[in-house]
Amino acid sequence: MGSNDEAIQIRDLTKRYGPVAAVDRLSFSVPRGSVTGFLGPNGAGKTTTMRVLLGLAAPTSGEAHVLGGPYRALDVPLRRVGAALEITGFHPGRTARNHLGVTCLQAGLDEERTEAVLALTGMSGYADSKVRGFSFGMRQRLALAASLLGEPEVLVLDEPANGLDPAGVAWLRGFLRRFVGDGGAVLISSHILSEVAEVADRVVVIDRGALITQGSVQELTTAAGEAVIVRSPDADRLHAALERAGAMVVVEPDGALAVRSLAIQEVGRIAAEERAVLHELSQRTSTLEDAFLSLTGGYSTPPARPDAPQASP
Amino acid sequence: MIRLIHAEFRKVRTTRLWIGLLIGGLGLVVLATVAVLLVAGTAEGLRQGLAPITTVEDVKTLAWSGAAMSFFAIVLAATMATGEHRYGTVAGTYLATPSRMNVISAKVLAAIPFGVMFGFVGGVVPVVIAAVWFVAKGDALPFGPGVFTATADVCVQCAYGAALAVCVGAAIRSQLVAILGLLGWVFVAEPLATVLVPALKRWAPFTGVQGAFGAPGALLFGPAAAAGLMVLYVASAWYAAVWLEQRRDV
Repeated sequence: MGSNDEAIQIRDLTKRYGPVAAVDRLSFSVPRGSVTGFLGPNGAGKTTTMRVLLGLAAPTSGEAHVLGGPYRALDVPLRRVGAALEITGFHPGRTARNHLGVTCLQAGLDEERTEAVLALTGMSGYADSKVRGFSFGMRQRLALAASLLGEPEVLVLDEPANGLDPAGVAWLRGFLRRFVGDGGAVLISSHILSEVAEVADRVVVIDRGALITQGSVQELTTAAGEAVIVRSPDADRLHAALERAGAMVVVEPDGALAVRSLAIQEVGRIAAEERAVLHELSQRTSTLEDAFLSLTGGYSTPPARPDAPQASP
Repeated sequence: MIRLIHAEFRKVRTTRLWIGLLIGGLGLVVLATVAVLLVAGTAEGLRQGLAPITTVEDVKTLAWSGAAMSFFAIVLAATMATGEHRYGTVAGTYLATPSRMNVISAKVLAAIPFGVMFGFVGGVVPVVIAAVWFVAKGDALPFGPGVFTATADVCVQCAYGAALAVCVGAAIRSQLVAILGLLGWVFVAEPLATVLVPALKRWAPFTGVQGAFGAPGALLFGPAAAAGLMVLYVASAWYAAVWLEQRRDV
C-alpha cells in the first residue's frame, strides 16, 4: 500500500485483450491536492486504465488502487470517487433529473444532491428535459453532475472538456482548481493539451499502454526544449534531410515541421544545402503539446488497438 | 437491496417501454377475448372447438388466455437487463453499485412485481369483459373461486417468465439476441423439442412448469415438483448470469 498522500496508485498494471496489451506494466500515482493530466494518443490505453481503476474491467496483472484499495472495496464508492467516462451512457428517454435520481438510489445517496449538482453544472434549466435532446456538451455536463453527486474526494474524468463550450471549459478549469484546493485529487484525460497545461499540476504520458514519462508540466516542457519551426513547399525533402542530420522532426497539423535537437542556424544551413525554399524559420518555446508530440511521435500516430472491447450489438 | 430494487423500479417507470408493452398486451388480450365471446357457441365456434361459456371452468380458461401477457412481461424484463448495455448505462450502474451480483439480483426481484402486474391485467381483463358481455345479454357470468386461482396462476406465470428473462438478458447482453432468443425458444424451439421428444415436456422451462398450475397431462410433474422446477430454473439462470457478468469487462 502506498502513502496516504497518494489518492490513486497504478502499479505494474497490465491489461491484455488476447495477444494485444492495451496496458503494459503501467505504474504511476496521483497525489492528493493535485490535478494529474493523463495523456496519450488515441488507443494509448488511457480509457482502459481508467476502467480497470474503477472496477469496470479486470486487470490481467498488477494493481489499480484508489484511496488505498480496489474501487470495488470502497464503502459507498460514489461518496469517495466520482467518475465521468466516455463509455458512460444515458437512456435517451430519461430526463436529467431522473438519471441523477436513479444514480442516487443505486449509490445510497441523498436525492437532494440532484438539485445541487444540476445547479453546479448549469443544467438546472434542463433538469426535466429528456437526454435524447441533449447536445454532446450537455451530456458531458450531465456526466460531470453524476460524478459530483457523492461529493467525492477523487475525480476520474475521461475527456471531460470534449463538447463543452468555452464558458463550460472555463467553468471546468475553475471547478477543478477549487476541488484540488480543498484537498481533492483529479485524474483527467484530455486531448485538449492547452487545457491540460492550464489546469494540471502533473502529467502522465503513455503510449501503446506503457508509461512514456511523468512529471510536472514545467518539467516536461523544459525537457522538450525549444523547437525550430520550418515552413517550406519542399517540406518532404527537407524533413528527410533533417532526420539524416539527427534531428527529431514532427509534422504539425498545418504542415509545418517542428524540429528538435538541431540549432536554428544548423536547420537553416541544411535547408540551404538542400536548396529548399523557406516560408518560415523561427524558434518556439516548447508547449505541453510540443512535449507530448515529441514524446509520442507526432500527430499521425494511428490507433494501435481498440481502447475498449468491442461493444455488443 | 431495497434501494437497488427501488432504483430498478425507477429505471423502468421513467421510460415509456413498460406502458407501451402493457397497452400492447392489453390490446391483444381484449381482441382475443372479444373474438372468443363473439364466436363461442356459434356454428363457426363449435367447428373451432369453442363451446359456449356456461361453466366456471370455461371462465377459468378465459382467464388463462391472459397468460399471453407473459410474452410482453418477458420482453420488458429482458430489456431491464439488456437496455443497460444498449444505452451504456451499465458503467454508471456498476460505478454506483460495484457488486454485480446485487445489481442482477435487484433486477430479478424488480421484474417479478412487473410480471405480476402484467399477469394480473392479463388474467382479470378477460373476465371483466366477459362479465360485461354477459350482463349486456341479461345473463350472469358463471363465477367461482377457481377464477381467482386461474388469475393468480397467470400472475405467477408472468412473474416467472420475467424473472427468467432478466437473467437471460443479463447473460446475453445483446437486446436483440436476448429477445429474439427468448421468443424463439418459447414459440419455436421448445414446442418443437417437446413434440419430437415428448419425454422432454416435463423438463421444458415453459411447458413443463404448467404442471405447477395443475395442468393435466401424464407427461408433466405434479404441482409441487413443477413449482420446484420453476425455482430451480430461475436460480440456475440467476447464477449463470451473475457468474458471467462478474467475469466480463464493461
